[in-house]
This record gives sequence, C-alpha cells and structure tokens, in this order.
Amino acid sequence: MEDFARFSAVKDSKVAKFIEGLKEGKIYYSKCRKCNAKYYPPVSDCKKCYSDDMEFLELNPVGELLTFTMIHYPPARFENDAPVSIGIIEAEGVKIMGNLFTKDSKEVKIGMKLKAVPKVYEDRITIVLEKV
Amino acid sequence: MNKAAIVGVGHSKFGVRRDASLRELAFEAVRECLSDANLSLSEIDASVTGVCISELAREVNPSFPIADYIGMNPKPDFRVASACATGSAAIRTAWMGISSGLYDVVLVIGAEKMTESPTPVVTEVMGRGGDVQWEYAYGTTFPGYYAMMANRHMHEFGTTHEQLAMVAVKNHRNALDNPYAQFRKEINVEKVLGSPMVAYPLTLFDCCPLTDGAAAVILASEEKARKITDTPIWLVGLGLATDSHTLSNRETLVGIPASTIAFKQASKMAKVTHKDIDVVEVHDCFTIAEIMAYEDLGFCEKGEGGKLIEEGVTEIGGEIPVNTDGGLKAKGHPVGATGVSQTVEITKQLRGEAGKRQVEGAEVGLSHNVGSSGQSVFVHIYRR
Repeated sequence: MEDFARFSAVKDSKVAKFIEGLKEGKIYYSKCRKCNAKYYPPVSDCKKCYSDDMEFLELNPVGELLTFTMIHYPPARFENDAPVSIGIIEAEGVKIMGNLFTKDSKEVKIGMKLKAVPKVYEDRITIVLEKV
Repeated sequence: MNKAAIVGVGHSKFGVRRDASLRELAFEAVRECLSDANLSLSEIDASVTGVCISELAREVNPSFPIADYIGMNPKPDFRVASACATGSAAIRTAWMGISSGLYDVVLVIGAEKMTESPTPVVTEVMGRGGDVQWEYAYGTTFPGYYAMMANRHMHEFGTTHEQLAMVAVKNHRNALDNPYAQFRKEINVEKVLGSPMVAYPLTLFDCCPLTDGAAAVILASEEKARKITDTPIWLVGLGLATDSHTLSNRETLVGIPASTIAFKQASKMAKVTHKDIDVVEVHDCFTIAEIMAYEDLGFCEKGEGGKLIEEGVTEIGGEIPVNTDGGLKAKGHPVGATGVSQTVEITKQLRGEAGKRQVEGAEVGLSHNVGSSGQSVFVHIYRR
C-alpha cells in the first residue's frame, strides 16, 4: 500500500498525478495557462480566472525553513512515528510542507536551507525536508 | 435592519462530564438560559444549534437529538458549524434571523462532548480541522499548527515561552472565580514550562483541554427585548472573515489575518474604537493564540503581544481585561459551545453580574472566535 496520507485523500482527484510525481521523485506545482497563477499544492482549477487549463510543472524545491514543530502526541495512524516532525520551506515562491530530516528540535534552525524530497515508504508516501 | 439583543444566558458546568450525554448537557444550559430570561420554550420562535464534530457525537446531525430533547419540535432548528468558531457562527445565524425580521426570539445552543472518545481519535479528528487532502499526510495535529505559528513568532519577534506561559497563568487565575470552569486551580510559569512537550515549542499547559459542555443564549428583536428584560445587551457589531485551508498558503505564519479583517468589520458596524472596549474574550486555544489575538485585533502592534501580557495590561484590573472567565485554556473548550460561552461571559460582564471577576463599569465588550487555525474568524461587539 502506498498512500499519501495513510488514507486516500488525493488519489481520487484530478491532481492524482501529484502522487505519481512523488513516486518518480518529483514535486509538481500547477500553473494556469490563461493567467499564469501558480499553485502549490497543485490544483486542477484556477480560482483567480476560473480556467481549468492548468499545466503541471516540476519544482526545484530548495529553500529556507520558515517554521517547524515536533508533535509528541501524534494523531491516529501516526502513533508509532512520535515525535512527528513537520516543517514548511519556501521555494520558488511557494511554501512546501513536509516531515523533517530529524526528530531532534535542537538540530533544526528556522532559516536553514532545506530541500523537499519525496519519500516512498512501505505504508506511506510523504515529503521529507532534508539538509542540502 | 432590526436590532438584536441578548436577553438570556445559560451555561453547563464545563469539564470531563461523563455523567451527562450531549443532549443532557444542552438541556442544562437551555434550562438555565430560559430561567435567566424568564421565558418558556413556547415563546421561542426558532433555535440555532452549534455542534461541530459529528464523529465525536456519533450522529450525522447532532442537533436533531438536542432539538428533540429540549422540546423544540416541531419548531425550526438550524445546525451550523465552523470548526472551533461554531458557537459564534450559531450566534451570527440567530442575529441574521432576527435582523431580517424573520424571527423575534431565537434560542442559540452550543454543545460538544469530547472526552468520551479515545484521545488519539480526538487528536486525529481535531487535526482534520486542517487540510485533510494536503496537510494531514504529514501527521498534523491542532497543537502542531499553532506550534508552527508559535515557533515563527518567537523567531521573528523574540517572544519567549515564559511570555506564553503568562497567558496560561492569567487565564487559570481568572477561572478560579468561574464556577463553570473546567480547571479552577492556580498555576505558575514554572509549571507551564516544566509540563510535558505536546508540540514543540508548546507544552501541555500551553494547550486548552478536551472538554464536555454546553452554553445557551436567547436573542430577541428590539421590541421583544425591551419587554423581556431591563438589561438587554445589544449585539452592535459583527465581523466574519475567512482564509486558506492550508496553513502554508497563509500570507503570514505569525498571525491570523482573518482576525484583523473581522475586527475591522465589527468595529465599523458598532462605531467603536479600541479605547471604547472594556472587556474582551479571545480565542486562546493555545497560549500563542491569545498573544496573536492581541496583535491581530489591534490591541498592540504585531510582535508586541508578549510584552502586553508581561505588563499585565490584559489582567482583570488592567487596561484591557482578556478572558475574564478563564478562556478556552482554563474554562475549557467544548468546540461547539465555546463561542456561545464567550457571549455568556460578555453578557454577564456588561450586566454587572460577573461576581469577583467583574470588570468595573464595563459598557462595551468584544468576543473573538477562531475556526480551526484561522480558516474562519468571528468577532462580535456588544453594548450595554
């Protein structure tokens, strides 16, 4: 089983290609062909000009860490992962959430340069923010 | 547009209420509310019920058992929801019903029963208040969202964990004088800092508890309100703004932009400025949320919230008393009930009935209720 959220959330959608991208090591964003609006997470419809003519493009996901946390009381399906590390980086004008390269808050500094890397585990597909 | 006033308030005891079901909790609040207004149910035109989490109520539509149990049938009842701002959404809906002229007297009920379900389930359900499609994939929880805001706030402005802890200390102290509060126990800064880590940098005492409880208010049109009571509390300003479902797409991580927009709408409608406001209820689901609320509502500059708590400005007796009833932090946060409970407290304050926690001479009050991590924000302004 390879599931983005340990339960189907993106699979049955028009942006299911995002998951295929992760499996190939790519992180896609989407761009409106009509008004050039840029979206991450990707969307199949443009809320700015109401076009549905979107293209999927690959990000170069290297950027600064904006913030992070270590969740010591994780939700159901993540109990064995405690603490769950989560951070947000800003890269190419979009913000990307992912898990972190470490579970030790002392090893993490806001502002550090990280790269968002897709990871396929046995039971889950995710994005990990790794040191460059 | 017709004016609307609060003419009755009621509250159940908040806490771990394993002695009462959701509908029974609602009944406690409604009975007290009707008695406070000196009305019988036959004088109520319609009800609006705020219960947020169907998964916890184990009902597809949890307002049905409540409307039935309190005896509303066959009158109109509306269920509304807006995550943790559900209660305020219910009040706003009742206000719309009255201001449109459709109804004269509307009962608002907010209720939630949260402690019956196992904690990981509640944690999951609450975490799913965020974007399930895009963010739950990483294991997000509610404390996790606010922890990320806290961490960034500390980074940008030098806000300290000690300052966050002072919010918890103040709200616990205020709850000592609130018989309906879940925690009536004083704590200190060391206790907050030394409590177990929930989501770095937030510790257990930075977080509101899981709570069972209900609150109720009755709103009435001007004509009816003047007949029902000598002390109507007028709902004079309302604001509601919304924002992106993903945290990562917000324009800022150090505040809740919808709070600022909702405040502007409400203060313009009420024709009041900050200096007119005597008592405030803010959405302190986490200590950082109260600090950000000071800033987003404009009681201080962005980044100065830590100083505001440090200087005692928001204590009872300070310039802007905040969360006089203990807030979500110490009074408890039964999601659907919270917004209604905030209205109950402001009403008591403006009537001069808040006992030991009374803000002397309070004439104008404000309540601020946030849905999820800022997807919706309701601001209400009240006048004696």
